[in-house]
Amino acid sequence: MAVEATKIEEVLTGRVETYWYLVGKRLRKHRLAMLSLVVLILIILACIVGPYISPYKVSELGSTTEVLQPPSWKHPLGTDELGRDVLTRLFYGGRISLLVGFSSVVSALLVGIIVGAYAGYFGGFLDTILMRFTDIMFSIPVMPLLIVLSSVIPGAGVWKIVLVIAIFGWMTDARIVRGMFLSLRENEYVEAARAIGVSNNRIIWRHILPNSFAPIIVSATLGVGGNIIYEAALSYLGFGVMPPTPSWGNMLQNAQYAMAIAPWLVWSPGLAMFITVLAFNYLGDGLRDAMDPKLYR
Amino acid sequence: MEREETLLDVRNLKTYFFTDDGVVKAVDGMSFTIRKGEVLGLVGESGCGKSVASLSIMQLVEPPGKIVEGEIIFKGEDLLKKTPEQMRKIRGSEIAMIFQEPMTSLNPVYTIGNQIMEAILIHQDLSEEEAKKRTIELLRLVGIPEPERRFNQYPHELSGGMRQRVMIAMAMSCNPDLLISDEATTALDVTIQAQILELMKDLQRKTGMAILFITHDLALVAEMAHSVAVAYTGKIVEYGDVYQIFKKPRHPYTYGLLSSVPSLKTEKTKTPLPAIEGMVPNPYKMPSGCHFNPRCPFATERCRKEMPELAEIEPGHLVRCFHPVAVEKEAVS
Amino acid sequence: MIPLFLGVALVTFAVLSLVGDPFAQMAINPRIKPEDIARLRHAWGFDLPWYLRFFKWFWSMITGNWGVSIFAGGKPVTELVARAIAYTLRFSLASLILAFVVGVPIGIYSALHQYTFFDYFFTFFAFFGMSMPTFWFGFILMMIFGLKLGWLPLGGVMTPGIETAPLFARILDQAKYMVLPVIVLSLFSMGSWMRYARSSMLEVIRQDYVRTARAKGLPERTVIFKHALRNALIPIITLLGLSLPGIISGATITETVFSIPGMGRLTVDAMLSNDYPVAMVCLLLESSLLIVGNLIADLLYAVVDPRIRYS
Repeated sequence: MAVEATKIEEVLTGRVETYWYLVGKRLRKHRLAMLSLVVLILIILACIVGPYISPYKVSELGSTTEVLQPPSWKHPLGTDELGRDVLTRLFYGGRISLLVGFSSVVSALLVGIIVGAYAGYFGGFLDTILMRFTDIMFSIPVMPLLIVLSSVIPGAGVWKIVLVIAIFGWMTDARIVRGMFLSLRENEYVEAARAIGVSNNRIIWRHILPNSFAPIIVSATLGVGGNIIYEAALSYLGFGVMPPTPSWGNMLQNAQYAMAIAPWLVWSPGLAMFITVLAFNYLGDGLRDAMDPKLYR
Repeated sequence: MEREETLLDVRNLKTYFFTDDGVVKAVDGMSFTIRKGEVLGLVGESGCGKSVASLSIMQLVEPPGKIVEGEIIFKGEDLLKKTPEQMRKIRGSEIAMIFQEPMTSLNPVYTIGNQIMEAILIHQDLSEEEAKKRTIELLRLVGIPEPERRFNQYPHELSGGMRQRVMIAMAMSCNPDLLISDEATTALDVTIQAQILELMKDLQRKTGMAILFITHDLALVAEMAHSVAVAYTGKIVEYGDVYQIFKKPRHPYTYGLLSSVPSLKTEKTKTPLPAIEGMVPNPYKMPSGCHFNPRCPFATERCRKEMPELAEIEPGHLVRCFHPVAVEKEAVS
Repeated sequence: MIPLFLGVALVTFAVLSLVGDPFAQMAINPRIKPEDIARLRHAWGFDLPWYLRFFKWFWSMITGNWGVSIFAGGKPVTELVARAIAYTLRFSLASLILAFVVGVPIGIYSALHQYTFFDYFFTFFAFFGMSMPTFWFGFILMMIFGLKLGWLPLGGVMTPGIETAPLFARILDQAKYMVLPVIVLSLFSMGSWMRYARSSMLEVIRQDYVRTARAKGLPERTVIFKHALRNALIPIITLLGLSLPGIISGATITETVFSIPGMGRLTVDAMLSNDYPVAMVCLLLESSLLIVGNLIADLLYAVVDPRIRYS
């Protein structure tokens, strides 16, 4: 719908600018979203490059004199209870947290798009079944089941966490995509495609899906931030990414007990996570504003 | 037409929208007058500024829109110089307005009785019971059957035509001197449209109120209006009484509009319906000179450089064009 | 409703079955007699095929025959759950009320004053709250108000030994323990309420009927409070219905951070320790609450929106 309205507007106003060009133009005007984008790029770069610059190895244990050292020139963010450099671990942890954030969103999206697209496009019985299932998944208390799944599924890897988060994260996407498909399938270009014998699958993936990208992208952007927090919460409870692999969440796991003597262990991973999530949320909000022509009448 | 007292005199009205992408001059120097009891049809394509002009009269233009210049003289006083409170008292009592979308123009969570009574209670010194009596009278007046029962119904329980009748009842509640009808019948089925028009005409005759009748549909104007103003890109391009406009349109745009209305004759001769070439210009990039020049078959070099003034071409007939059309047209409908 | 409930029960049952036979590890314990284990296995239907076990279990659930905990000294499940709910309720209800009462009016006000300093400030505040990892925020508050300033306790629900103190002292003591968790719990939802109320109001004040109300010559006050607000509240009230189940099911993370023995903790602990009877009751209770919450939302919707009431 969003895309359609803009196209009509273009035709009426004689503008040749494409929808995505307009989105980009509006997004550039959203100062906080642009700032967030810059911050995110910096964070991602730091997490990629940081470990190569750091003189310490990620799980390199310090000597006993270097345990729980407050921030200093040698260790800008201090050291943890095993004498490991916190800044180095923060870079590595960021890689893991961002990886989990992105991949769980992508996996959840894949499931959500498939379920939502088929339910919305075909409607009827298939729609009822798929949406019933979505309702059921929505009605299950997520946190306890996340915990059970992560304790039941074998392995301690990052991908397990991604899988577990994705299993309970696709329902919102499915509803969004279904909603888009329900309205878009009534459009004339879909009717036309059907009339000239384009296959259903081709209509779904080539004709309708690209037109429902806008809400999907917004949901995905907000989802990355949300899933970073999910991973952190799971890790904090001891069911997420397992040490010695660091993630922002499991770095906080032991911090609670050391907070009286080593508050720096609490500050840095939490702040890194908070800023990242805040940036994703602002970016998502900026994208929503930029993609919703209704707000720009 | 005999000279009557001027009710509304809009002079050089400019309402601009200050958007992120630039300034849109939705209404750019419109002038027109309405005498007491007169029906003025304001016609044009969507985006010509006719709705914004009507909202400007009511001072209901929402940001980023702003009235930047002009005078709106109503009963001898400039509405733009009124305080918001004075303006509020005029809205709904002396000037009332009905809108295009009857489906969304009524508040879904209140009964229609409540919504009409509210307008009465705010402007008139009546008790609740008197207001209710008056509301039921009004419902009956606009032809709603079983008004006592309808009084307690919610908008969604009524059809589109009925809702528009409710809107009219609401507008009539304080016997306004001027009724602004902004595409009030556009969203309705043709038969319902005819009924609503008939109702408005009837009420106009009974009460002697003036109507600013805004539409894109020339056939409706021919039926309703005494005078016609044709708007294009925020300016009036032709202005005259209904006979002058329909019989002797002088602006190429008006001429084009009238030619693109299907009639029985075009049907018979199987000639294709002529359409106005091109499109309404991009509001951010208005053409230089006369705004109609890129679409105008008679455009000359001068038209591309200079904006013509609205000039009187015969008594009461004003045209904004350097090369007015000189052919007489057969009246539509 | 009923199929949804059955479906949720089945999925819950399936997930918990993944954990395996809860009585298998008991067999290792030499102090438990094999007959007792056999009796327990029979009581929970572990000697039956899974579908029969499911119905046996489901039947005992809906008849309120919840059994006793395998651990926790064999206490009745009802008792454990009731106590946990009592704790959860005081924290979650307080934070829901706080978040709603503060968040919604601010959101509405922001919408009416879009693009002002107030709006920008509280938009930032809302994003701040929504981006904050709850447990980390809990740590920070604990570090500042608990450790550094020493004003408030770090966790728990009451000072040990306070049970014998006079009523007023007890209330004051427990209130102190509520401050930090309630702030943590309400920050996120306060942000969401603000954004939700703001966008709902923004949507409504663009509606045609609001313009109609102005065209009638109503004072701005009436336009906003009678015509706009009433409509803006429809989705807000619905969301309130949806957030009711959370009052009882609790928040695992916050309860863990502040050592509150509420429902969230009870559920997770029971699942981890394989306390099958408790875990199943908790999970099913929580999911039925979610379903009931949906129902309440629908009912509330019908109450506030005449369009639904009549169709």
